Amino acid sequence: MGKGPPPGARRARTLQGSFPYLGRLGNLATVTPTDRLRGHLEGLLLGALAASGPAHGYALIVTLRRRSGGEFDLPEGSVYPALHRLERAGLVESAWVTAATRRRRVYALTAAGNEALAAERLTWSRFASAVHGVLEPGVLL
Amino acid sequence: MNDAIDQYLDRLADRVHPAGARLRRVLGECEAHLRESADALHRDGLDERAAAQAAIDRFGSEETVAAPLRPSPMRVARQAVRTLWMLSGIGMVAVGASGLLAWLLRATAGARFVAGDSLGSTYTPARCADFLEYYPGAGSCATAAALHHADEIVATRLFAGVVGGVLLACYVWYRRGHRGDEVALPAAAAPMVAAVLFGVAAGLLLMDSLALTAGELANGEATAGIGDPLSAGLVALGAALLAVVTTLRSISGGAPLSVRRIASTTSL
Repeated sequence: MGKGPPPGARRARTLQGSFPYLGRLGNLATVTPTDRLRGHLEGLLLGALAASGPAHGYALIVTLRRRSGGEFDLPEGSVYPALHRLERAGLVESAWVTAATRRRRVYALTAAGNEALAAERLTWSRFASAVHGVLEPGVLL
Repeated sequence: MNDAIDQYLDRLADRVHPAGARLRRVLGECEAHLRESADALHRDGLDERAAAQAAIDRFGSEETVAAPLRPSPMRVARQAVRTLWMLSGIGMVAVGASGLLAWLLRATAGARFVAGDSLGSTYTPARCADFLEYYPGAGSCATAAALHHADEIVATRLFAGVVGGVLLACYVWYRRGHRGDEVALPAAAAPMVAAVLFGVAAGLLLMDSLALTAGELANGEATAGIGDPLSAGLVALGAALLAVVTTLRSISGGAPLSVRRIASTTSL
């Protein structure tokens, strides 16, 4: 018999890799909206920037919270690593802007960022329709 | 005033690696955010101290911000390879410089000083004939051998210097096209490695020169073959000193990680 983990254990690990909160929390009912944000934060930041226009990190957090009806209450500091990743990928650009004695880094969508957002909207829309179709069959989204 | 937000930023500064421009930007953004958030909470009715603490609590732990900003192992490995490339170029250029010094010593102190054999060394008649064929005016096998070896030392080292120059030119050309690359290693890392390598090389080569001198003086002979390790050792010593100065300047330019110092440069 071959060595290594049994097939079930490997499948559980794969599942946990796809849905990190599953292994940690064990119960879907306790998954918070912030847990569900994993992997979507960059897309949401692009969406918030498209909605608000050029904005600094704090304004983006406020936009995210307001537009999600207070559901996305993530640690505010986590937006900065995500914004820096987006900038490295060329999807946003930023510059220091001084207003009312306070210096802020203001982010704006680039053309590539707009394209990425359009693609993200399409992907998300298909995904949401598919999930909805499974969870609530017969009810059109 | 060193309030809760300043203390938070000090702790954050200790966790963001590497320091430098990225640290200044992260601290500038985080401070602007925290002050904005605290002001909003203060307007909502919290007193200043409670508003600052609430803003920090909402912001998340220092690790929340710092951990995702740390360079990935792949990025660190890529920069390590680039640094190795640069150091190899510098090392080979230093070898070339020692070739120039050996050539100067050959011209001023003679080929024997650079590459003369120690007392008692002998060659086969065929080998001697080879040396004398290339250096017919040498007059003796030992002189012809010294001339041959000195020329060999100079030529080999100069060739290494040219290769090093090409390596460095390629490196500079590559870096011009990748100026925006994220810095993953501390600025002092490369000069520190160079200081250690050149320092060790200088120590070994200069000790070799001293040992040769001592051995030959004990034999009552003039110094022969000392110019070879001496030229390399002196260049290595010079390079090590330059690397130490560069390391110290990098350290004093990138640290200490004090928010007060950074804030003074970002005029927040």
